[in-house]
Amino acid sequence: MKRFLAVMMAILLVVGCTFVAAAEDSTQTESYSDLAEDAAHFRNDSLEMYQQRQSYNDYREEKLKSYQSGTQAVVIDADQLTTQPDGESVIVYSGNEMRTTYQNTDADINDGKNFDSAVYTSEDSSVEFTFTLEQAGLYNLYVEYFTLEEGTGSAIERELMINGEIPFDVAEDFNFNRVWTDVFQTDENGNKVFQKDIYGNEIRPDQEQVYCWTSSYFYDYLGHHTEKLLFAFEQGENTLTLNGVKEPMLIGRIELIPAVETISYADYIKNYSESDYYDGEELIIEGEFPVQKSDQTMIPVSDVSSVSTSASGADVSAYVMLMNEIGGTSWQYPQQSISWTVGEDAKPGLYAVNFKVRKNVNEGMISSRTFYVNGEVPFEEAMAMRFTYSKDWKNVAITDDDGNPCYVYLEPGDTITLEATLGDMGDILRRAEIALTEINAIYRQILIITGSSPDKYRDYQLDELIPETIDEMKVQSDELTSIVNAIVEFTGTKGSDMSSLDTLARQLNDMHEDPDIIAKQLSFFKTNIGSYGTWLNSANSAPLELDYISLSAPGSEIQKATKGFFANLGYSFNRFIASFVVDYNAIGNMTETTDDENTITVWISSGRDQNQILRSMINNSYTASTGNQVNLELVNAGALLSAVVAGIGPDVVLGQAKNEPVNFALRGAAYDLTQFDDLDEITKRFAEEAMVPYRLVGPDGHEGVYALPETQDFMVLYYRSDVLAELGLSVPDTWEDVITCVTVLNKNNMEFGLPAQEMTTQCFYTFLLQHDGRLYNDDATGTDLNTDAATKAFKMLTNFYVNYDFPMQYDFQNRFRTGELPMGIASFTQYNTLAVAAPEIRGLWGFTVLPGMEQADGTINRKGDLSTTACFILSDNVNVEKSWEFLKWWTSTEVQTEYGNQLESVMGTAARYNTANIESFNALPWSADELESLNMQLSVSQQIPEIPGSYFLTRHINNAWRNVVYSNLDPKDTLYDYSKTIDNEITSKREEFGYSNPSEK
Amino acid sequence: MATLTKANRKEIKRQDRKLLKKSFKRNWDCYVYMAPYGIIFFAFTVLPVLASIVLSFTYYNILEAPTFIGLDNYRSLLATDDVFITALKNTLMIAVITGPVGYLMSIMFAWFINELSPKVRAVMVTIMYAPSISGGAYAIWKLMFSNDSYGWANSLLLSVGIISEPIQFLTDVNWMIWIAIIITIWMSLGTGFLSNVAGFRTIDRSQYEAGYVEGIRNRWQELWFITLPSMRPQLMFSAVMSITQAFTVGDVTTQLFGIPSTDYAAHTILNHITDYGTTRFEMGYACAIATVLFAMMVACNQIIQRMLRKVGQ
Repeated sequence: MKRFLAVMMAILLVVGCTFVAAAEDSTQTESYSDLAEDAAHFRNDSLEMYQQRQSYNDYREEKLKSYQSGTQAVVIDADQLTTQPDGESVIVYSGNEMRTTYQNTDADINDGKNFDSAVYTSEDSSVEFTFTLEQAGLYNLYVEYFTLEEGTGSAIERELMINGEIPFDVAEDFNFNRVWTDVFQTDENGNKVFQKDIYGNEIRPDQEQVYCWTSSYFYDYLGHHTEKLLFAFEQGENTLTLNGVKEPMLIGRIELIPAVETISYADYIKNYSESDYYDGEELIIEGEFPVQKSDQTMIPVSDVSSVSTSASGADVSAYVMLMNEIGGTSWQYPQQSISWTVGEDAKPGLYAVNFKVRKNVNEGMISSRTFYVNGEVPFEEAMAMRFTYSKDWKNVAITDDDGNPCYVYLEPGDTITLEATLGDMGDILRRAEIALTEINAIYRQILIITGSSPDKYRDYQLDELIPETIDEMKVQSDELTSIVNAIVEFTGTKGSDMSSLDTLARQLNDMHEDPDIIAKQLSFFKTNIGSYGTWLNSANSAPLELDYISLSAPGSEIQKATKGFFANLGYSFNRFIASFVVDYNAIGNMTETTDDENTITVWISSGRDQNQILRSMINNSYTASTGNQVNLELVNAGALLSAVVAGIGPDVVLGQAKNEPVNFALRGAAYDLTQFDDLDEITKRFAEEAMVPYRLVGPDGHEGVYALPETQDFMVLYYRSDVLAELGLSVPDTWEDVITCVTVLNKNNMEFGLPAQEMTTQCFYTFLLQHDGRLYNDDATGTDLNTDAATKAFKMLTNFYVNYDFPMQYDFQNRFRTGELPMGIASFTQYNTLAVAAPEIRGLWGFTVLPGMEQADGTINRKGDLSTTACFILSDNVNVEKSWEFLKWWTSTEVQTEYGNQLESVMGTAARYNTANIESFNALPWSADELESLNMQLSVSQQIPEIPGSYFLTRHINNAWRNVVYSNLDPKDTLYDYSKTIDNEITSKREEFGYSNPSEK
Repeated sequence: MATLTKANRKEIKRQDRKLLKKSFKRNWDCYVYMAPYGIIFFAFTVLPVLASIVLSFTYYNILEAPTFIGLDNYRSLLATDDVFITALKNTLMIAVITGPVGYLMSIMFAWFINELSPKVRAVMVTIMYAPSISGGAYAIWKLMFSNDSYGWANSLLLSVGIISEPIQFLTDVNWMIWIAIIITIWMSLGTGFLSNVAGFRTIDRSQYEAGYVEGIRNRWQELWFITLPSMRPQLMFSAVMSITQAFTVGDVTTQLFGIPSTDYAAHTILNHITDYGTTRFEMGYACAIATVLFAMMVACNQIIQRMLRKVGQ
């Protein structure tokens, strides 16, 4: 018996291991040599070539050899503008006009900057300044600018050219932060406090942009170079050009500041030898009450995980949520800064500064922060303070290299700023990023010869075919090893997550030594590259939670950072008890749930963050202005039907799938919005096509409108510019171009991604539209798929898989990252995920409108599918007017924009809200080019109408497609058969709902 | 038996009522003990079954009140609904394969494991019971049978060279039902298995000794004549469990293949009910399907019970 078991377990083990070991590549690609010739004419047509610019480090080294540090500070102001203002993209303001328009009236913020003139530059502007230098030299650049109300609220981005040239890679994109602040309330003593709900929970404050003069040096916004960047200028006349990338900017002046080193602490303390040491009580500046921040994502947060987290005026409680710290993963990217003010109860003097912080992610990595007092780094030691990994809170002082504390001179009212930086890691990470790009290129080189699923037993003779690549492996292996060593030297520990670098380095070395194993190891190689990318992604961030900043008398004891084991145990027990008592979904309620006639019930089914944002917006804006109360409830989407049946449904429901409104309307459960006079006006907020699935002609011939669109989604074409340039391909305009591209891609063992398996109906609809076909007949009594257009469209869609071997199922993001799938159709919302999750291909990819069908007149039909989600009013409702008021408020531009901003600030860029409100959609932080592509695609996209029985369409288009692709059936017959099935269902559903059906032809 | 007069009948009825009352009085505490479960069982099992039987004779679109339409639902269900026949076929196929296989496996595994030393046994019981705790582990199965060429099964087959293109396990009609069967068998070990383990533990050891004296010659005879008959209740329980499980397969197919699956190739009766109930809003029809399924399950359980009486004979 034991033997039997042993055998069983051995079998299980072996099977398990094989499955795990087989995280394998595949997709045998056939060669298309005959077609490749056709592709030749298509090569090298026109492609914005991806260029490798000089890196900043090379630039710096080169210039340091031949240039001296500058000597004369130069101020460039609006007078030196040599571009002709056109009154639209470039405007020069001067004198009183400017002073009254661009000055913050708030006394706290007014920084006394009063320029005589300023230059307005729009997103697509280019402005050139000319100035003369007596002597060539190296300078830092410094700009004073006004954060305009105009624009989308995201960081301002500019490209810099010196004497007509972009000097180095980093200069392609400089970020200038805007200024954000939290909207706090004040208590009777004039202290800042958080708004509280009826249960005593503190509510996340609203984020408000401050429009004011502010300033910044020119830094590398990726944080790879942490110091102020050096720029070389020539003797005599120089020009400096700023090209708009994102967001408008009002430039007050630009200054050239001779590059000087920051002084050391030893020199610093000498300057203050006369000053007193502070000797009073320890002063606490709570992290959750900042005065300014560089962006809206750094919101005070509530930490309930530790009893030691300090909240102002109260201990952390198990029963209510108190805002008690700031930072964490929302404060992790270079250049994100938070400022606090030293209180009026402080005395001028030298202070010991301690930060109570926690960094319990990214073990083995260090989060660095730059410390500023009134905008200046006081001494070298404060340039990059290191915060190491710790599970619980700890106090960290500013110290020199030997661990001796550094004291800082502060006065009441001073501003202290902490800015995230990569510190000395920056340089290492930049090297790591370059290495990743190189290694990805190696992978693609191999891929081109072997395909992604190489034959283990075949000798590919890689060492003869691509000897440079084989040599490069050794180079990169050594580079990785040296990166690991550099990090270990820097952090003093070797985090477990760095094993991925070791593995990859070893593998590269092995493959270099014995190229014959490459074929066998290719899939592991890819996996290892993937984990290296993941590591790099997390290493590029420097999250840090801050509880408070402590200012104390040098040498005195300060409060302990933690309260000890038993305090935490007691607290945890209380939290456990609280979980039975507290209704977490009700957090944020400002009024008791009531049922009077002023109150409407709204259901939202997204998530708790969305729920809280919406609730605070309702409190602050909707209820405040209209006096109408709203019960906002977070409910599982599937509960709607049962609730409506039981008669306890809501008045308004948000975020429903697009087929629901008509489903409810057909059965008399959705309210017809045409009964409101201002409906036509409201629908103008959306793309015309966005309303399509919510219109339904009833059996009596009346066309009702049963919902408003909330979010929208459509597909665009993504491409990897670097890979296309490598292959000499251009971005395809038509599907014929796509096929030409695919032959080249396939020859190089790469793929084109078309999500026809996942989104068959949407893809089919796209092709149908591009062939000028339609899904339903005029009166929507049945399908219209027995047409030439439909057959052609369907044939085309299936042909890609039958004849061109498109991958049926794939992970778009991963394959796009490695370059295995350098072109693909995907939702435009993928953009955010890619932007956040794939930093190593930053700037190497883009998206554009869908490929289309060329028309007789030479134009290209690029129509595509549009999908929306809906919000609607239920008929079982006594507050129809109030419900409609709410829907109007909710879909309005300001509210949608605000909601989108808040969502992005709480959940990060990846959660960008794809609102259906057109104005609001345009206000999202897209760049001008991106927005143009999006609007172009949106304007030609169409949505599938919803009719009785239309759920059968998706179902059977799927079936038809699968039958043709898997079993090679005839597309025309298959489509015809299934369209009959769909027609039958539509007919029977029409009968069910009392529509008249046309008699059988 | 003489004909009963009216008075006699009345008398008998009165006597009956008296007896009932008496027995209730005598055993009232038992009824109290039963009440909590009894009420819940009635409210959430008996009532819905009755309601569904009633609703199966109506047209009911969920949002509007039901209207009585007689046997229409049954007529179209049995006469014209091709998809129902497919669903019936799939369900029976899954039930016929997974029911007995799962059942036998749970007995065999319980028997094997019973032979182990207590510590190893505890570990093995946990391992074998795991599938039913982690009932929702579809993510792993999805990964294993992913259509993607990087899915485990596909990449293994590709690298071995058996196939040259990824198999669309989750959408190809030729594969789906088999995948469903494999997963159902894996999941069906569990409750039944556990009760069998318990059953093996309760058998009086002295019976075996007696058996050897009476001439039991080998382990198979021991199993058939002593072990299994002594644990008939557990066998009964696990049989009922596996039959119910086999007939109500639906979650697996929904999670893996979606609703509905390609060409209804893995459409089970439960999926059919969901499809009509929630997608098409035809609750009356869905109830008719449910009633048919209910009848099938009752019939099947009867047959199983008869068969189990033969164990050890």
